[in-house]
Amino acid sequence: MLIIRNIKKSFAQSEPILRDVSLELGKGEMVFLVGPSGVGKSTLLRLIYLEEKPDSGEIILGVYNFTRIKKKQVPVMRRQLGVIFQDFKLIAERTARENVALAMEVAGKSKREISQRGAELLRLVGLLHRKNNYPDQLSGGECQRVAIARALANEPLLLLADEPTGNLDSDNSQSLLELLEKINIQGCSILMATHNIDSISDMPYRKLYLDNGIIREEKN
Amino acid sequence: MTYIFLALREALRIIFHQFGAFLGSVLTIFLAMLTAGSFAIIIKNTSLTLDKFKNEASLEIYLESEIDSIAKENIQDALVANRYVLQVKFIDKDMALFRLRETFGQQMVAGLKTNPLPESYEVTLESFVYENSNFEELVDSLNRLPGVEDIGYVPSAISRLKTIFKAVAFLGIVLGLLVILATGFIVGNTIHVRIAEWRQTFYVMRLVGAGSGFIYTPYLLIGSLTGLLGSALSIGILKLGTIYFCAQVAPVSFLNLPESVSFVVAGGLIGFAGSYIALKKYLNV
Repeated sequence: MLIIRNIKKSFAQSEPILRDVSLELGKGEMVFLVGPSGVGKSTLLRLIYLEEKPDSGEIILGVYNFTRIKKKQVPVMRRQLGVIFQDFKLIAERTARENVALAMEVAGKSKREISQRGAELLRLVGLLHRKNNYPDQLSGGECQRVAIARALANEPLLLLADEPTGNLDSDNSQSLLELLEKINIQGCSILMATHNIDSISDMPYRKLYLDNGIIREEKN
Repeated sequence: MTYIFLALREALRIIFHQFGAFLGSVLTIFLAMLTAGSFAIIIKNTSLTLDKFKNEASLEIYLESEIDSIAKENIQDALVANRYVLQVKFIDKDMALFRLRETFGQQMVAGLKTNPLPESYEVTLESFVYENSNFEELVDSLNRLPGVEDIGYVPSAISRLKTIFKAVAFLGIVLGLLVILATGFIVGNTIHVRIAEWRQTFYVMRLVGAGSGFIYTPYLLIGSLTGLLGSALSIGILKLGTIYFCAQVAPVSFLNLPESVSFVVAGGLIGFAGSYIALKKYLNV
């Protein structure tokens, strides 16, 4: 479903942060991308959600080959993805329900559909009772759950998680990982970047180590 | 849900959450448009005064005392045929004396043994005669007609008024353009200042698959709304000011309905243009 071949990426005149990255992620798979801070995990994710362009190489997601994608197709392609971040990136002027609705409004869903799906997702992340609260009225863990609900709104092919537990305490981190597992069991593919190997070491999923611009996969 | 409804709802949401900043922008535009509106009213009233003066202005063509009836008819024919002449009226000596008495009173004419006043033609002119140098040429040509003694008019008043009008109109246009530029700049700058806090919102919207139109339309609507409200407020205050001025000082004409609507719409367009340029410049729309 996601195929990355021989990606190279550098910024300005510096050494390439990604030298030759290749990976494949199948439908319904959950994979961890592991490595210390600054190694290029976020850059790789940014390439996948088309916030950056690679210097060379190829990225294919479903039917989209990013090397040939037209500018007009980018928003449509992004609706096939869900992305969550360490700092949640919720819109402060929108309530939890409205933040989730945003992704569906963009996709042109009907009011009824938005209302039903929004409630369903907030129930899934355990925050239906907080639907009318603004981000500044929610805890960090709750904000991240709203961000997950928003990311899942359009039933994405792939959920990208960029250090989603980075701002959370250990209890909330554990709870979030359990939620991601639950979402994965329902069929959504997940690629999660983290520097915290301890938090995921016991989890029975593929782990890809990014180091010195190259991916190394741990064999079980 | 329609696209425009979503954009409008988003714009209102942003205004509600950042009401102080929005109000500040509206008040700034209000002040700029107040200046522009004041000049529009001054120009309009100067123009109306000039038109009124033009319509009321007439020439008095005084005839020689020994003029015969053929020469008189020739002068009348020449006047009627002239394209700058709107109306011709013959004033005989008795009528001239009567008018003098009416204007200055019986004492003025009491000592007169004979009527010294000349016969004359009172000529009302087309208003366009005052354009360019037509007026001076007309007076010269009429003065050369046989039997004409003199021509009475108020050339200095007309030319002074023309000069004042030109100066006010020029100043108004220059100031109007400056105000338009300043207003556009104010809206653009306000949007620019607030782009920093909107950047995350734009980023999130792009991330969930929103196109440029979906992201930026609410901000263009906010710019337009700021301009519309600012100019509507200034028109309202100017209307009140005009009413007060009329009651306390002198009658003044206010902008009519189409002019007022155009003024408010222009404010909205300036707001739209200001936000568009700011978004284009700072966010590479």
